[in-house]
Amino acid sequence: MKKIALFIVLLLSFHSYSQEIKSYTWDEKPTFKEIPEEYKNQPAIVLLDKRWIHTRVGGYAYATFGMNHFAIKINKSEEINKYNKIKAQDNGYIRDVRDFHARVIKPNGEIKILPQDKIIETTEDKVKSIVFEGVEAGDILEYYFIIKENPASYGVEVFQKEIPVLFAEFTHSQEGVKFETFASPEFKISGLNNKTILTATNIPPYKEESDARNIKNLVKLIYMVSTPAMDTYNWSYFLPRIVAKPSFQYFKKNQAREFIQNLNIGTESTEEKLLKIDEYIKTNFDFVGKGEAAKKVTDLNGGKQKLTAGDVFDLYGFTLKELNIPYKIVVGMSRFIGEVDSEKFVVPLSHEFMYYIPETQKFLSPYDKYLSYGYPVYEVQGSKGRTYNPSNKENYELIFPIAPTEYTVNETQSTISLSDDLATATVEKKYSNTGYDGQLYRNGIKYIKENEDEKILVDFIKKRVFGDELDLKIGNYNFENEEFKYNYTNTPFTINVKAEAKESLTENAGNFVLVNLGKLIGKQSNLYQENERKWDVDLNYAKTYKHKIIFNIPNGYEVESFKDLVIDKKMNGDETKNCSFKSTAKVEGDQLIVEVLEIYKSINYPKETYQEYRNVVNASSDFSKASVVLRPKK
Amino acid sequence: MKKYFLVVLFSFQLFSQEKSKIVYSNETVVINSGKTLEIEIFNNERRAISKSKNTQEYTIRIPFDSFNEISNIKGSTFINKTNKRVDLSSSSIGTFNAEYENIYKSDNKFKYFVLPKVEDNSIIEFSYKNKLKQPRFLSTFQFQNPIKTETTKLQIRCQPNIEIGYKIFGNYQDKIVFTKATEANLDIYTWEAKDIPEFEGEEDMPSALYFKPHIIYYIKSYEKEGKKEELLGTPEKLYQWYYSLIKDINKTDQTDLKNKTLELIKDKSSDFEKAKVIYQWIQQNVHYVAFEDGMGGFVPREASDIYQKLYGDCKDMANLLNEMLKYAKLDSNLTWIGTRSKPYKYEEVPTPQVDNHMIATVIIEGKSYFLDATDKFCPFTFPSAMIQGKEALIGKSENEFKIVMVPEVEFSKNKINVFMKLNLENNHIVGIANTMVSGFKKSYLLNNLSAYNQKENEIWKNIITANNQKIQLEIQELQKNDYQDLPSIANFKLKLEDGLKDVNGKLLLKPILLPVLKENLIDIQKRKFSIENDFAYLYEIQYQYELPIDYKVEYLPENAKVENDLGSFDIQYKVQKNTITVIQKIESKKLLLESNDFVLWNSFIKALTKQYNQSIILSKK
Repeated sequence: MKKIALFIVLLLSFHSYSQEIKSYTWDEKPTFKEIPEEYKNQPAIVLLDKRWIHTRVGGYAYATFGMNHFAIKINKSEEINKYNKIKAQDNGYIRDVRDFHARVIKPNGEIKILPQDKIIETTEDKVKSIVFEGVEAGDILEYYFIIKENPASYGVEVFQKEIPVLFAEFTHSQEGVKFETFASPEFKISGLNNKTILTATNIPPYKEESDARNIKNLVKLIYMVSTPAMDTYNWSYFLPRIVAKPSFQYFKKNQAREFIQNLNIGTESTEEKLLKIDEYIKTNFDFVGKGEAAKKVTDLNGGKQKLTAGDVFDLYGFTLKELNIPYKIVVGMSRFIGEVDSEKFVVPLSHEFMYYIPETQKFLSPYDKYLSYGYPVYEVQGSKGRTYNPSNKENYELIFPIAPTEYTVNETQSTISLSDDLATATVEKKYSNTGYDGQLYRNGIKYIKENEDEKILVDFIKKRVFGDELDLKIGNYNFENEEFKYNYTNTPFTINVKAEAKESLTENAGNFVLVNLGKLIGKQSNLYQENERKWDVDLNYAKTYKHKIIFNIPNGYEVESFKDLVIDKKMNGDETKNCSFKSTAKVEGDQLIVEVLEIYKSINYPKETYQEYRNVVNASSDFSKASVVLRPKK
Repeated sequence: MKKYFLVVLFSFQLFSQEKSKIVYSNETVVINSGKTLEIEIFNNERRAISKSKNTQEYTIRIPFDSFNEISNIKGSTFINKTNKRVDLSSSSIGTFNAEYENIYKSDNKFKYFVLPKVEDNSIIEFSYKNKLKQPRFLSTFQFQNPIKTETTKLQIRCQPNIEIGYKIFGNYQDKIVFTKATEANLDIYTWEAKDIPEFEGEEDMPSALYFKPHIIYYIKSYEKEGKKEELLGTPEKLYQWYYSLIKDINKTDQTDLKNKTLELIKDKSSDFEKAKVIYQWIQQNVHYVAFEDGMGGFVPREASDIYQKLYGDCKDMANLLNEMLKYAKLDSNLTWIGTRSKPYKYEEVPTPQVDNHMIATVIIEGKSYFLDATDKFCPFTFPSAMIQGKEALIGKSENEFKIVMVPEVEFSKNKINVFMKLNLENNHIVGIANTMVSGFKKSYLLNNLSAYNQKENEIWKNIITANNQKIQLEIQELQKNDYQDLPSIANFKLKLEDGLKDVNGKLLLKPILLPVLKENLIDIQKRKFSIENDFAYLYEIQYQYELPIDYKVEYLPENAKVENDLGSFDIQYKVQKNTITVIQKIESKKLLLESNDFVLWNSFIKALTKQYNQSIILSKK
């Protein structure tokens, strides 16, 4: 009896949610939250942003009803144009716009409802829209619409805007489906039966910052919809499927076995075996790109060819299995986008899949063409991931390692000589990179050589090696250590260039001649104007810069001062996590030798340390403007 | 710190161009004048696709609207390697509403399809019929495309009683061969070109229509049941049609509008003041919402309706403005105009292709003012930046119109004025910077402030930091002064760290802190197309340095002045007692830097940069 009663209650609740959303309406006389003092001068303020998704699947039902109710106060006339046009639209395919109402609430409380005949509809995709009429500064614009759509299996609802949002609400109710939400911490959750409400208040205006986790920090909500029997995205179900058996699309398992045999792997150490596998695959296999048709592979050992990304991933896994190399599947996510969920694969978010070799404690990254066996992709460093061990069929949390600052090093040596009239300069520069930069450059140059003409290559060298602030003509250039294999030994990828500076690097002050040697370290970013910081600074990777500038002092001149070129800035605190910039200069015979060491030891600098971080970054920019002062010999 | 690699690499991948080509691209226009004028355009094209990864080369988008119909779309892919042809299935052709960011309602649509099974080294072919319903909207034919074109041909086939007009624009005109023949009692006009290279745009270039070879063709007249019907061919005929579109508007009750106008002008004694208050009321209160929907894209909506709704597109705003100016008893008229993106004149192209915008022209004390209320912050009396130097067709009455040239706004009216009072403290430069921004520089500032409201302080500071990022500013006073005859004002406290070099007791001071135009050197070897500026402008900057008591001027750079048609600078140094005054005046005079201006421009910038590199030497007394 109890069961029947429960069933009836549930049935009624489903029915009522369905009816409730369809009959949703606004208050005849609206009341909104009071605008806090801090937002009163904002050009516009979102007073409420309510969204409700009701999904019914099963029986004869297969539909989603979406309700959007929005109200905004316009404080400045210039803002009207940004908010006066509304489209009754969602991500999915609209089957029907059930209800669409808009009104303007004047500062004196007068309410002007827009007539229904003002709604227009596009002919092909049947999207309805309306423009608010007679809007002036001080007005509140309010609308709501209810649409019927085909159910979507997931969605992303962004609530944060460039203006504050006083009240945000996301409601979901469902029948015959499981509805899960993954919301920013600003949301509070409450619910009853099959209806859940998430609310957030006083969401501040969104402001993008450089080197910050902008997307991750955006106030938003992700949802996933599935039928209750299927929880295919739960890690305990999802991860074993990845390794269950290879599902090669364009070659057969026996071809994969032949491929492994032909790699001639014998009694080498695990490390050596992995290098052999990774190098062959990374050197020879490119991904089938968009617009390209994948083809059956006849011989996997037949040199360069194109494979689907899925086949490449499975080939790695299959090879590890065949060679009995213990491995784990690892899932990560760019720390700039979000964080891997502890329970499941969240479909709208982009995840990174890799293999982890417990014995060597290194990663294989099949999907990242540039990256060799070793560290994981830089985006996941220091973040949480999920790992699955096929041998015991369990999954765990893991923290991705962070490559140290010595791993990624940009080292340059520039020798500069001025022409006799000091009007032009010859520069010979060696530009070397290791670590993530080295691997990216190696792959980037390879791509350009294979796909572009030399003009593009020269432009690339010019921009990368010298920056775009120096007007120069590239002469001879060559590359060292271009092959992929050099990634394993972290051997620098080097570009040697000889260039002629078309512009003068010199400035005059009476008898003094100033030579802007700082420019030779290339374009430097700066934070001169970014005084305040809302979020931590997050860098792609820890990195060291080492520059050496050898300046041939022109005949007839001597160095009067190099004070400008000597800079020392260092962040206080933990020596293992700080950053610093130090440059030194000395005269040796007829040469001035300038050396720079700039180090970023951490990938994360808390916002509390921002000013010190900023000082170091600005020091590099200051250096790029610095000059040596020469005077004619007496 | 370098952070640019990934972006650069990504852009390479994104824009990598393989060498596909158009083997032929033909358009045949068949015009038949019987009881009605029937126009059908047959397009067919063949392309050799070298790399299937360049999907945009075999993804076809055919735009259309309520004035034409697209039908008979056919296509196929021929794969060289397998010698197989695969036909495009009709189910893979979609029709979509075109969405544009700035257009609210539009009848623009497009047919969309991707040629099937394209592999490297495939040949694709497609064809379709375009039936034109409005004879005045005969189209443009482009001879140049984003990929190389081997052969391209436009052919018009029509009865001899149909008179065709045309005009060719852009580069490579010497490659376009025109023939006219008669065949089966039809006039056949043919324009054919071979080996036209791919078109690659450049940053800050004017509209591609200035460079891409193209022809605008139109029907001047035709015979209908033995009687000559004139359509286009002269500005007079174009105006006749334009007038027919506006003669029946504004028939609804305009009492509210009239009353509002009278209320606005009640305290205004001069026509100038009346026009100004009306123009600025519309700028502030009527919001731009674009409509391109059938004839709604050509006919202004009722002024009373726009007044009530407070939104409309350019012609709606122009119509409202015109009506209000008339209620104020001012001599105002609706005016058709092409923005700077249209490189045409009314005599050359007397068709609706010539223009794309509408404004109101008011004559006050014999002087014409071209008022474009779509720019919210355009100063009164200024034309908007995008119509400077363009022909305006002013409709006076049913049979009377006038074509006049809209002037370019003089550089001296678009001005940034900076006064800095500075002291030297330790090795730093500190002081105040007072700035005044006027003309288009002011409207640019106000439009930016309005568009990026969370970056307000940065935008204000950018008046200074655009030319020197290192200067630290503390805002003291801000005045937008929008809709007033006053410049916008921003006053700051200023600090430039390490602005002085101490060289063994001597101080080296680089006195020009705002090196305006320094970065504007043109890479002449690389640059193909001219460079367009939104407006010409002037900077007047004065630096007043107070010297430390125990220092004197040991070396002062010489004054320098250069002037040419493109720009000028004048830099002067003066010492009076303990104060050094440096005056820097920079003029950028041209809206369009043509490629034959580049050498002169670069020599000007180099001469200017040389001056920016000068330092003053101060030594102990």
